[in-house]
Amino acid sequence: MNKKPVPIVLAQILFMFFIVALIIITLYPFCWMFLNSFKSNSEVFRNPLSLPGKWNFNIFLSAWNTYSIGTAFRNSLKITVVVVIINLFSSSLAAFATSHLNFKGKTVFLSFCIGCQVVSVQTLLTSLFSLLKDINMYNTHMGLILVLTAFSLPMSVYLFHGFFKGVPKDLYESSKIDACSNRQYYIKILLPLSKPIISTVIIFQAMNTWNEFLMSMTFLRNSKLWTIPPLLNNIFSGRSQNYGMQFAALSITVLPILLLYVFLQKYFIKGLTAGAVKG
Amino acid sequence: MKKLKQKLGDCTAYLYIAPTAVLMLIFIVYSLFSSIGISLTQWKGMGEKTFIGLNNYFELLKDATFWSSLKIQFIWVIMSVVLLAVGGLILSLVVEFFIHRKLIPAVRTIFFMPMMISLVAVGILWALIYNPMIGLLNEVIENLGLLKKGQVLDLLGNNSTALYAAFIPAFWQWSGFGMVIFSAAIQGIPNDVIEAARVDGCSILGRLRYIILPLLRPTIAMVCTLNLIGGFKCFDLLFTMTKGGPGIATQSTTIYIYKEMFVNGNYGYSAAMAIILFIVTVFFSLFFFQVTRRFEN
Repeated sequence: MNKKPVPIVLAQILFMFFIVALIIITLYPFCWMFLNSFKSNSEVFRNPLSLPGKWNFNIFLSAWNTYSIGTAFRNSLKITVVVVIINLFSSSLAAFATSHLNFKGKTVFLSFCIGCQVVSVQTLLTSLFSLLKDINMYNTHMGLILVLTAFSLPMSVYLFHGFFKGVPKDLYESSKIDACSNRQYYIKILLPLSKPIISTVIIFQAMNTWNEFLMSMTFLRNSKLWTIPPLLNNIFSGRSQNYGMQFAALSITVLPILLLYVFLQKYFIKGLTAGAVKG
Repeated sequence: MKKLKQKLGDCTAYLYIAPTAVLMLIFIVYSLFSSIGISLTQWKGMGEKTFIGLNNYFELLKDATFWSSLKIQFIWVIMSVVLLAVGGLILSLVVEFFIHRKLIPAVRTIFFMPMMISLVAVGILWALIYNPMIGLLNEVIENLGLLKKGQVLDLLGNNSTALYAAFIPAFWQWSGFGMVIFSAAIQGIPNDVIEAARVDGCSILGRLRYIILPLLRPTIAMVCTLNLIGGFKCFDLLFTMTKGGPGIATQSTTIYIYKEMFVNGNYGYSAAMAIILFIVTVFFSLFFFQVTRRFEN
């Protein structure tokens, strides 16, 4: 048996250290954030790097109440669920038309869906503000829901279209021969086949809506209407040096998603990189 | 009626695209034109919009803060395009080639984890990490003995380092994204190609340079284009970490647009800036897309 030369073994060991270092750098910020939530404020100041001396669970309850985190959770949940539902309904129907039917303006519509993804929120911030005020939907959840849905539609149509195009044409043709209407085909055949893309779109849009910051902050003036990102920004913007509470608030808002991630990693990874991964 | 049907195709299709088309037309297309309209006015957010023609644009050309913000925006875009792709590439190469097969899913899960939290949370977390008094960074550096007693490292408070320090969390979070995309592409490379190279006596680095990287070129181009567009949209991270500070050292155009609108109440001026940024974004995206397309061939 050939013995591996020393330089190669050395390189392998160094490489292993490199990989372990990468893993630590990736994970430690999370650990640090959680550990610091348990510390009292003075402890945070004295030794940030150590384990908490006393495990102070009360601070979570305190942060929850002081910052109305429960309200923000409810708002985020409501807005995310409504946006995702409208999005699924709207975009899958539109993609059905673009992938299975022929109509004038199909290419224009599809090009719009690709082009609109480049338009950033900033470009339209002032005009959306003006529009929402004109229709009396500024500072309302409904207004934010409409805007977020509109922005999320191009990507969803693109994703559904790509998937639907991959469904064999004969399925559609034979359903037509069996005197099946478009609606019946869509509900009874296409949708059941589309479970993978539906879960992908759900995760993609849910994550984007849940984490959306600029529009949520701009169009919701009333702090009782805030979703989690504007709330977090507000907590951190104050001059307060109550770091213990800030760590606790961060941890509370981050933990649910991380737990979901641990159980549904594959779906999250597929969902968040949707559209970019080939095949 | 029949002629209409022939011309338009399947008319029921319009019903199917109606909800989507209506929402997009109102909130994106109409808004775009409305934005251009507002950029030609002076408006305080309520009351009348006063038409002032191209004055906002002329003011912008003379505005030093605007030019500074553009420079900052470009630096951020370049960092996004180059560093995020490099980060993703390194991670994917490590995961695909240097980790024991059984450990790959776990390692991939770990590297992707930062993507799970919002940019706002990332910004706050890293602002706390950089905090000169209680931050993780300071503690680590102090414990390594690199700081004299009483000295602190305030990367975010320092004009020259703030922007680059602020980019590190973006790198920490988004390398995972690139990793997944590159991993998928690498998995698409047929094994025989790599095996043939190995049998031919090609070293690890050689295989990397002459086989894997060239085959990944289209994927690299796509990731870079996505990061380019994303870089021009950046707001959440910078805003939560520094609010554009210290001073205006990290005030990208995206943040300046927001500040002019919400802090100074110059909605028309803000809209004009947003339109210019949009044109710049589209121009560079198309330009970059063409360049990478030619580079591939």
